[in-house]
Amino acid sequence: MMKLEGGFIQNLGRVYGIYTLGFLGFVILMAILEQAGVPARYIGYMFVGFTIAIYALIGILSRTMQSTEYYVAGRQVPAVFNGMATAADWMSGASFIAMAGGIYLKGYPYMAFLVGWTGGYVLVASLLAPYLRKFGCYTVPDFIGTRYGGNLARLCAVIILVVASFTYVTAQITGTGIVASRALDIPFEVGVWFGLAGILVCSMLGGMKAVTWTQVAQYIVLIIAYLLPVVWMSNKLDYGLIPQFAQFDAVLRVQELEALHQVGELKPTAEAAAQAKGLAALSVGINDANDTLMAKWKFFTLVLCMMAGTASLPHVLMRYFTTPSVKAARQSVGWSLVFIFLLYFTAPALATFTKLSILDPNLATGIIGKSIADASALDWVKNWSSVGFVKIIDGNGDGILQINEFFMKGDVVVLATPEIAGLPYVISGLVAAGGLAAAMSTADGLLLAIANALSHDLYYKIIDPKADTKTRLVVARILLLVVGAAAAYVASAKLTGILGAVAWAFCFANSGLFFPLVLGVWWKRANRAGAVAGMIGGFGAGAWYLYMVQFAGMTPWLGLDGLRFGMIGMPVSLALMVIVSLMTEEPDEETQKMVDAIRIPKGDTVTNS
Amino acid sequence: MSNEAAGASSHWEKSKSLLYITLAIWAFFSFVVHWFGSALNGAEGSFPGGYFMAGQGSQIAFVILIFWFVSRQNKLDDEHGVSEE
Repeated sequence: MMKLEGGFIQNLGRVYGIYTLGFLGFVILMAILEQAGVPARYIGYMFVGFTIAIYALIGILSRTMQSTEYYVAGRQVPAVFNGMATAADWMSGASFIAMAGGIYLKGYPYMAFLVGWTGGYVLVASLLAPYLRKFGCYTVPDFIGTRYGGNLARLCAVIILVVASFTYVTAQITGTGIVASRALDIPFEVGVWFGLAGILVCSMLGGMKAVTWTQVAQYIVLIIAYLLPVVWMSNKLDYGLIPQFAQFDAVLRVQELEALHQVGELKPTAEAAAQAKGLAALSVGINDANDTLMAKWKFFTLVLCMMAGTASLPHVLMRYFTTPSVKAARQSVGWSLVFIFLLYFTAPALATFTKLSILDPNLATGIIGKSIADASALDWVKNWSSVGFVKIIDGNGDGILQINEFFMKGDVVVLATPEIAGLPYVISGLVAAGGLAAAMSTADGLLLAIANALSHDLYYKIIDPKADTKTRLVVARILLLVVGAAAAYVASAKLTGILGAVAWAFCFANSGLFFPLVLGVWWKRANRAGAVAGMIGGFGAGAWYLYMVQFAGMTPWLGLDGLRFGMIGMPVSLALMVIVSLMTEEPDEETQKMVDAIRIPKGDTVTNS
Repeated sequence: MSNEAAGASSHWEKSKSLLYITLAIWAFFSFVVHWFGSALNGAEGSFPGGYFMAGQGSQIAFVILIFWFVSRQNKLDDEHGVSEE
């Protein structure tokens, strides 16, 4: 690697091309082994073991003691590869494991996540990424701290970053724990620590540099793992080669089946619902679009919160600090969305084909309408019932499985689809490896964002500005360990579900950071007092509202539930920031010049810390 | 005001206009189009347009929009002599 290092960046295409072929070869080898009679659980071990070994190897080969490499990967990551790394950084367990299941169970309203989590990148490209790249900072609080000046602004940004990212990372470590415990047959609490070990190996030694190159590798694994089963299913069901385009006929077919099975009319009995706690039966149509004003409002507010959150989450923004130029940063946002899009526009197809497999009585896989005894005897129903992800309760006691008697957890849709559709086990192993890659890559980015903010902004900039490079990097690594252990500890206590926690993280970030970041670039008049007021006020209001709605039993205002508390935090933040800025003195000339400098790509970066 | 400063100032004005256009298109595909989700779905058995827009259509629009924005902004930077190199 050291010999190759000089040519590594030039040879990226070749290196990852060989890697992709190697991975496909590995999948084929596993398929052959399965046919040869190797038991399924060993195939699972090999998928998890092999992929983690690769990530760890990349992590170790990319070790570094240089601060530019540790914090921003030496600022030499080409736009396309940074796009891939960002896509892996971005798509977490929530996108990979939970999203298609959410669409399956909740239907149209849930697709607001798809719109929000992609459209946010338009804001990143146009409002922030190129300007932050020109600024030349190491971390997001670094921008806030330098643009507005003073330790208080920096400290506020650090606190918001830590709260948002920590909420998020806990969910990801939970995700790695779920997958690891299923694939390796170990208890969830052990799986969590196992997942953390894998994550730390990637980021400890090489910081951002190592995380970048493992994230590219993880993207390749996760996208293959997501697309392959859907393509397979679409072809098996004779809907056509490209599931993303073939799904519309399937949607219409599902709607016929919904009428047949009385989806939405048959609801679970109260008794059955209580027994199935935590699991849900399908009770909404696949395509019941917004009819009421309230439904439209809920769709829009969720879209807006997820978009603004995308544009204020530090682990995403910091990926654009690693490109070689401002132009590359901009282009890189486009590439990020291309790679994210590949998975997101497949998610509804996955949900649709799984639904079709389960509902259609003409298919061997269709279980609704069969006898309870037959359905319960299916292998996948048995496997997933035993871990509490699926439950069959014969509510009306007629011995036939109705739509309101089949309960499941959304996560099953992605994880169990290969089994539901009757695909070979090797595909299940691949999906497990993909889910692990998605959760690990996001956790890597988040842990690094937290540890870097603490080491660079809190320790180096505020506590000990004289610290030398070596001390700073050692502190960064110790903090990475501590934060990671804390997150794994919280995750093992199972306080939150994956998806709720992720939506909270977005709202924490947009409540506190969206306007201070955007106005820092777009409004010269924004000053320190305004930014501090905006951060404290917005974050405080959002957090207070979340507490009141989620834990203190307050009735949500205008249907703004815990997933949408950014709708409270953001306006407060904007109003305070504008009013307080206008009431206090305008920023000094030096700051104004700095803002001018970041608005044009030409010239040196503003900070060279 | 020096020539360079004048160039930079007109560059920023044009960048702002580009931003407004970009955000208008963004808002259309983020919000406006989904307001009509139910209407786009059409009659029973016809192509589920509302489903398509929420599940895929808006995403496709965003991808195209970003690359369009990037090319326009790059051109703008070049014309005003403020691009890198």
